[in-house]
Amino acid sequence: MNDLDLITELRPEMPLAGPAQLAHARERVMAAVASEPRAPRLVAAGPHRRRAAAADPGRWPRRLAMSAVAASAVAAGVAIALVLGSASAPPAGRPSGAPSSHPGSSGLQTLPARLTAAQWLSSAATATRQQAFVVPRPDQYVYTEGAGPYGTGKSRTWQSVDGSRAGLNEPAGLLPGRLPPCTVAQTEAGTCALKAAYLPQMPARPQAMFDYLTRLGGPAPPLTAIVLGKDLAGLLPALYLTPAQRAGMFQLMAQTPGFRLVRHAVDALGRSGVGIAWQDAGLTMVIIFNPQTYSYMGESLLRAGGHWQPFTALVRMKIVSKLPPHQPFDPSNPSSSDH
Amino acid sequence: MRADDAAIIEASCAEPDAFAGLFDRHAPLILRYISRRVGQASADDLVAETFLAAFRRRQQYDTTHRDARPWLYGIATHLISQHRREESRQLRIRLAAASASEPADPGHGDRVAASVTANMVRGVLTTVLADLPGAERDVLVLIAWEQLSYDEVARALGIPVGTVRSRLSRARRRVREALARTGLSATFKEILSNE
Repeated sequence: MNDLDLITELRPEMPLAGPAQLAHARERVMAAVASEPRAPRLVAAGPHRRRAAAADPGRWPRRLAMSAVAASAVAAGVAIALVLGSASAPPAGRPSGAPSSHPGSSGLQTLPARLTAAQWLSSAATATRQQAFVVPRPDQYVYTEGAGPYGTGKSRTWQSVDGSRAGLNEPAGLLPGRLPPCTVAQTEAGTCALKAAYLPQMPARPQAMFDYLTRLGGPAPPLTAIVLGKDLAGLLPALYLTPAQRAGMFQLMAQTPGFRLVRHAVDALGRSGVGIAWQDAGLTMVIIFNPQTYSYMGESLLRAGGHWQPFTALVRMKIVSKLPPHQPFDPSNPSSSDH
Repeated sequence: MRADDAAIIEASCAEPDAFAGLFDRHAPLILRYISRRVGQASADDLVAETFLAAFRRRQQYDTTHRDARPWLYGIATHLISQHRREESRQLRIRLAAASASEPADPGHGDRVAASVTANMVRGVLTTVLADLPGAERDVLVLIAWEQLSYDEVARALGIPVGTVRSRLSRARRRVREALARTGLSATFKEILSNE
């Protein structure tokens, strides 16, 4: 018997747990498994599994996973009721080179040739901070309309501003689903996954914002382009951000190495904007912003050879006061639907 | 023949539901490991977080490793390192228990002495464990409590095997020094000289 054995003797003895003791933990894990988007994979490469943008488990930070097919509900931009690229958007797939009436194209042509991502992001932060903002009431809803994944159909989502009310998710081509309520307080207590679309208590200072998101179960340090890009790709479409928070996100990206600028990035509606790109497991992920308003437009994948695989596009985000009249049947609360 | 862990993880990339198989297979083990270190109150949350983190990273899993337990131990250990307060509290509770326990049978001198000595040693060892730098405690516990091999610990913690050895040997030296300071009987001197 040596010193190592003595340490082993110190080990608390306990039997292995049975299914009953693990039921709660299993439920939490399987809830995340169940809300995983099940789109077809874009890429299957190499002996090691590569992340495919569609089935990306990291896209939605675990507790910030907003809705079941969240990737298709993309969040908007800067001020409420800002409608981006509506009727003037070119058909999906057409390159952005054509002179067009959609917003932002003139902005692209004025980008200096040697502009770095950090420089663009810093300007975006400064400009964004000045933008107008209307504070929503807690009992209202953040309505978002988006296209994707892959530009397939339109999706709509109604999220409770403070997460205290059930919301509604209408993914493109799928049955509508109820979004169960879950406030920040409940998320911090670990009882459910966050469903609040407005986080006024989230700090706007870059590092403090990152720490806040980490505490809510989101990105984990260290802060790298892969961690941040993936998380912001999930948050930007889903949160109704204050101008200061949006500026903070731009600053956080500006001070994180690994991001590069892509001119003429294309979203799922074929609209072009400024892309902020990073490498993740052999894929180039790109978040796309409107070059004039700096609002979030969508997300794409840039494949080898310069081929765009547009993924999502945000059409609009605004504050509304009510859910739509026709609700999906909710078996847990039969009186909630009106038939 | 049942599927190995790597096959389950690979399948779960396209079919997320398959991940349940990995949970059912290893959650009891990981829960026990976490409970041993931070107590049962926090363990339920942490085992869920371990498997949630594993699920999020499943597409980066190196499928040449057919046994996923080191990978899971590594994730759990990382989470435990963020709960140092709970871990310290657990060790302090056990320290209090060690010093408070009564000899089983006060009537028999030898057994009393042995029992008191055993409690004292447990107290000393618990203190050493609590005072170890986190990185050394992780290695010591994974080897002495969870019976992982050096390779498995290296894989779990993402460090070279040489680092596993050096951390273990530093931890063991502290254990031996602490025992030496107790000035106990010849029995323990034998223990200390036994490599």
